[in-house]
Amino acid sequence: MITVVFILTIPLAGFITNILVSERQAKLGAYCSVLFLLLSTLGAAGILFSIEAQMMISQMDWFSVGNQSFQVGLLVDLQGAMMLAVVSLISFLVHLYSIVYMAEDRGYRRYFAVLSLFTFAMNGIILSNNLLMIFLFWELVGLSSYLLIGHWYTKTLASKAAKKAFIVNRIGDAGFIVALCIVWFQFGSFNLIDIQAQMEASQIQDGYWSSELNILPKIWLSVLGIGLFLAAVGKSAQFPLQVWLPDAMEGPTPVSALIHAATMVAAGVFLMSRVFVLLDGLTLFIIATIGATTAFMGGVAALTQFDIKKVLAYSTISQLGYMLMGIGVGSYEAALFHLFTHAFFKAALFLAAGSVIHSLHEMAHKNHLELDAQDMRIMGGLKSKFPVTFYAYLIGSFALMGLPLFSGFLSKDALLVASVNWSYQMGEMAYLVPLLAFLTVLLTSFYMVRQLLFVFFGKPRLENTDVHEGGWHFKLPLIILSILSLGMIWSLNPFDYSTSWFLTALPDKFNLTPGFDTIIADVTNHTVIGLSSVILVSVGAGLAWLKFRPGKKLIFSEASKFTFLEKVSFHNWYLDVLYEKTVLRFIRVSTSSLEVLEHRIIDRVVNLLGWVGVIFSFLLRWFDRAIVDGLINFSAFFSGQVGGMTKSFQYGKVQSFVIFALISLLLIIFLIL
Amino acid sequence: MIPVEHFYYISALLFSIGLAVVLTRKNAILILIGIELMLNAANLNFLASNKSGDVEGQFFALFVIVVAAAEAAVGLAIILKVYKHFKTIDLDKIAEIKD
Amino acid sequence: MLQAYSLSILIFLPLLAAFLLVFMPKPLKGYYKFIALGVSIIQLIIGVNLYLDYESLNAPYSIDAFQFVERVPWINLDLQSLGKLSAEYFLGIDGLSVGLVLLSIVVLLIGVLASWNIQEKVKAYFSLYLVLNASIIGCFVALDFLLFYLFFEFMLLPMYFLIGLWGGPRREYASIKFFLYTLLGSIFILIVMIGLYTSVIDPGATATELGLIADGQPLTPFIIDQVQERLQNGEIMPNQLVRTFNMVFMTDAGNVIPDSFLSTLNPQLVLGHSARFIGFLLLFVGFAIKVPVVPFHTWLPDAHVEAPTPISVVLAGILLKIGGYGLFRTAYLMFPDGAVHYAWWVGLLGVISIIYGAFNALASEDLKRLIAFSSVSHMGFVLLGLAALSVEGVSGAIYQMVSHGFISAALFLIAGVIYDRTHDRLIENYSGLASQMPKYTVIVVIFFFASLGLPGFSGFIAEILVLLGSFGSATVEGIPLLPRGMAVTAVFGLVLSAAYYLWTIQRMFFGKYHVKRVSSDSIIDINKREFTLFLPLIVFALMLGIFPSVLLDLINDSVVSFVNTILKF
Repeated sequence: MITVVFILTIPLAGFITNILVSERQAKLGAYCSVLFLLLSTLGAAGILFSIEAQMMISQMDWFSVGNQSFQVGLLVDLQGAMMLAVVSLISFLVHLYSIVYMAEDRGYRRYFAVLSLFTFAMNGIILSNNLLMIFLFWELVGLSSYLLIGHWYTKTLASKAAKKAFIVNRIGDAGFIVALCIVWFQFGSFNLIDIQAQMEASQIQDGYWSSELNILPKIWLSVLGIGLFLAAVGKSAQFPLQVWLPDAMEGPTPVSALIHAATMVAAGVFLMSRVFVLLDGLTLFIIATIGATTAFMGGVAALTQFDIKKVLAYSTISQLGYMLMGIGVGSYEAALFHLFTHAFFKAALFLAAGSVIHSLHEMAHKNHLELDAQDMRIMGGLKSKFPVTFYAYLIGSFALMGLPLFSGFLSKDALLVASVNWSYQMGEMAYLVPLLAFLTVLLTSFYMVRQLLFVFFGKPRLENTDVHEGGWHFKLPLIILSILSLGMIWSLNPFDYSTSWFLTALPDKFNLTPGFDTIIADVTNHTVIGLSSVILVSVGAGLAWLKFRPGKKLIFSEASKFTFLEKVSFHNWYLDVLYEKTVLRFIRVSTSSLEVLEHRIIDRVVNLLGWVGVIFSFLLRWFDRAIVDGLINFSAFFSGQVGGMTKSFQYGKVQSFVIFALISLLLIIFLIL
Repeated sequence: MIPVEHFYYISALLFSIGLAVVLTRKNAILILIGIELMLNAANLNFLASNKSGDVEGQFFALFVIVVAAAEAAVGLAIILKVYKHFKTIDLDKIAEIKD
Repeated sequence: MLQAYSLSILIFLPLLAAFLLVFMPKPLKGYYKFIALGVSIIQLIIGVNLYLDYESLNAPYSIDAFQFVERVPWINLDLQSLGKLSAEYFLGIDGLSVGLVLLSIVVLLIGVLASWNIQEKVKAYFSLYLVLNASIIGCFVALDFLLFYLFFEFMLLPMYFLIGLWGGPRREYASIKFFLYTLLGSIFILIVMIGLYTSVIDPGATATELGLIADGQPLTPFIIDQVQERLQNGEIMPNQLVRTFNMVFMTDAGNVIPDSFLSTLNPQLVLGHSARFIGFLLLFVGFAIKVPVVPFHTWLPDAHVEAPTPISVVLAGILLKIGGYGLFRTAYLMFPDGAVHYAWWVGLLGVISIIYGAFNALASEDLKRLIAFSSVSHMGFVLLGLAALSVEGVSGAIYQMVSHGFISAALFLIAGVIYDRTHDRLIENYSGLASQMPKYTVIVVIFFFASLGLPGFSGFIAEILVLLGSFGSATVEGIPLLPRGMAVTAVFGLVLSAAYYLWTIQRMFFGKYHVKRVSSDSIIDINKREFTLFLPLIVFALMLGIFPSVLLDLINDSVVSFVNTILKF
């Protein structure tokens, strides 16, 4: 267990180191991070080889509220150990790669600090044994993603992309929080093992879902599943929240490779596999549909992009769609399998793209050229200049397309088989899901071949071709990742996924949600499926070859001159525009109307009350002055007048006093007598 | 033997003269003299009422003479002070109570 | 020895210092702030001591559940046929208040440090500040309603002057609005206080009056039961009833005179409603103004925008919590029936505050106004958690008050930093500050994320507890107090808070460096003094986020007894 804690926390040490080192020692900090990651990778590999399908658990109390306590704890099982190894390895390679890639950057320390923080958080998601902790690290991953996308914060696009990524993810997190509420209410625990046990014990009867603790209407079980799925939709960039991922390509390319292709975006899939027991029939159906839809939409959007990273970003969205479709059709192990294979080949693709971009950028910088180093329209014929990069790209592409002998074939085949089996079970409309999945196979091979042709084949379109491939920092990660994208690594028989060591090592599927007891029947037709997918790949590749083959004169039309369908693809189905016109407008309108409410109504009512008070007091003042004061003044006036009258006697002439006295005396005497 | 009424007539005359002096004269000393006259008119009354044989009236007269002497002394002293202050003893001119 | 008088020292030390300050000659002008600082530091030491000595007691809600109790007779009047009036000098803390007392001590200390550069009318400023200090602490520790009300009212006065004399351009409007608004609330509280006074007896003193115990003898639960039984049976003569302002006695339904105005059995009707419900509502509105709850919040943005930075810090950091604390201590504990009856409305107002505050923050163009509205939004969680009456919800509400105290204090300091430099708080006038003020930006990012509820910071624990608690709200007769949708709606407040904070960061700090209408020379990074202001707040926000038991262990038992007391009713 100590190794696990070590693996979890050592990237955090990298984070702290990079915060503490001074500007001059920035390189030292970076190398420290790389070293830490290497240690963590070795540790993860050690765990992976010693785990043998049994779980390692340890936990302790974190805090308690009332008599209920919240725990922190670690859980390592096969899928966790596998994921840990993948994340650690890719993170290590990306760190290594970044040392040179980011060498000229001013925010060097910040970059490595956040990259290490990301790795820590990602490890946290993988190793946590309860949902609350997963959520905690989930958010932390979002934070580091935000900081890394916005690494070049002076670029307005980058800062906007960072903001968009975080806010869109936050929408998904809202679903996560709702799910947490339901889980806590129903089970009184966030522990994954407890949840599984209690879920098995819980029952659904008469429209109510009752656990040992509480009873809720059945719909809340679906809400729970959909909430968790929403979190995955946000993080894994699924329809309708996939809009942030293409924009996130504003971040440095190694970041795109690590976070926005291989690991963080796959966290949604990982989460789904962790909470698989909580997903009921309705939720799984929604997941399958959304997954297949996203796969198709991403594939379409990738067809017409010119930015080398955007193509990969859309393809990531598309592949993530596959994985979630796998979850939805009940085959979470296939989804995980695809997650791992995809992590390697997509990281290879991104790092290869980064290698090209870096060199072009350097060249442009040296020659003071104004060019977009990510635009495929300026590339072409780079095969000879970038041999290692080219082969890595080729292997990555073949794996992505799903050619036999490469890792992608195995996992994609597993997913396709599962989806077909599922649709047999569900019948009717459910056939749409495998249909979309197969169409996406075609799309994938089309856009990948297109990209390969654009970037590496044909004649160089740049006049100045003084570009070089980077050094071993670049090559080593590419080579390692390419090797891991080969089919042999994953399965002894590279044509049959069922012999894959990963799938055979996974424990049997645990019980599904009560009320959803359709265990997927195995329809062994995967030879047909494998063959048809290979045919589709070839068709797609052939179409791309016909359209963009080397030697053919390529005419790049401006995006504004596209046909309607091309525009739909290029603008990612106009989702951004749609959200701008609907959600954002709604928010703007409600914001401004609430502000109006605040200023015009609430504030005015308060001020009006104030005014009424003031007017009332003015009235009172008048009353006070005129009536109350008037009475007082009148009596004062009256006595004043009387006083004035009597005063005239008192003018100080003693003799007149005597006369008055005399007269009065005489009067008294007269009256008495 | 002079009948007692005559004393009363004289006394009433003296009192009237004194009162007239007090009321009409402006000079403070003359007013003081007027007051003395009125006091003496009272003395005369006391003595006249004593003609029948009693002595109480004479005692009263004696007291009044003493009081009159004291009064004259105090009055004159005040008048002297007033004169020093106002340079006049005209009562109309030194009326200050009005303001 | 002094330990027993800790609370009194906390209150009277600043008062004494304020008195001393008034008589200090002018040449010592430079030392005024050191006196204020010294007072705060001593308070901090006492506070640490309180924290260490405070033991969570698992006792039902009664006088025994309080610690550091000081109880001295204060006003005793024999009103003949109206019974006897007794008010006490009664201080004590329990789990509901201990966190807030500690919060106040820290925030007041930071407020003093933030006032370091005050130049005008220094003597008046620090004297008023010290008076404010005393009344704030007094409010949190007073257990006699009259005493509490006294401190509560007394707070307005220094606050009014501190905003009105040292504030921004519209300070007069703001200070008067603040004063009148809160005074209005106080009147509601006063009405209920008098109503409660006429309806509640002091069982101990009444027992003495009845001759059940001799003067000075200890009061046993048995005797209290006896007195309460006789009271409920109407066997006590009116002139033997000793009425009280004691807030703990007011909580016990057994002490309520059966035929009184606020009787629990057959409460009188006011306008066709039970007087007890009206009483709850009046107290609720009175404190809701202070919290503030939409729609009683409009004083807050104005007061915050106009107040000088340290006063905003105190206002947001502590004063708002007095509203929340008042709801806990009086409205909820004294009128549990009202609390249950109106739970739905209270929860609704909480959710409205959360969403409405967030939307208005999104619309704010002034940085300080944005932060003020975010306060409205975050205090909505307090209300929501309280309305749920579940252990998680109530703990979350208290946690949110403490957490928001630290975070909002930092946020207003942040607004103060930029205002000190440029005297302009309009967000649109800045862009790309990150390149010019890197340290400041780091702090802004830390606290904006802390405030939007990033895990690892205190706000997250508070909000997640409130949401868990409001989803699983207490059930009365099988029906949950709050509909489950309420928690779900409140979650969207979190999304919006991310939106307004991140949008602000993007507009003000990211992008190309560019300022409008302010001199570019004045844009300099924060200095050491400012940094030291933020440091403890970062530490507290992180500590409460990573080790929640630091606070939760103190309040757990009190929260459980709080919930039990109310639901038992």
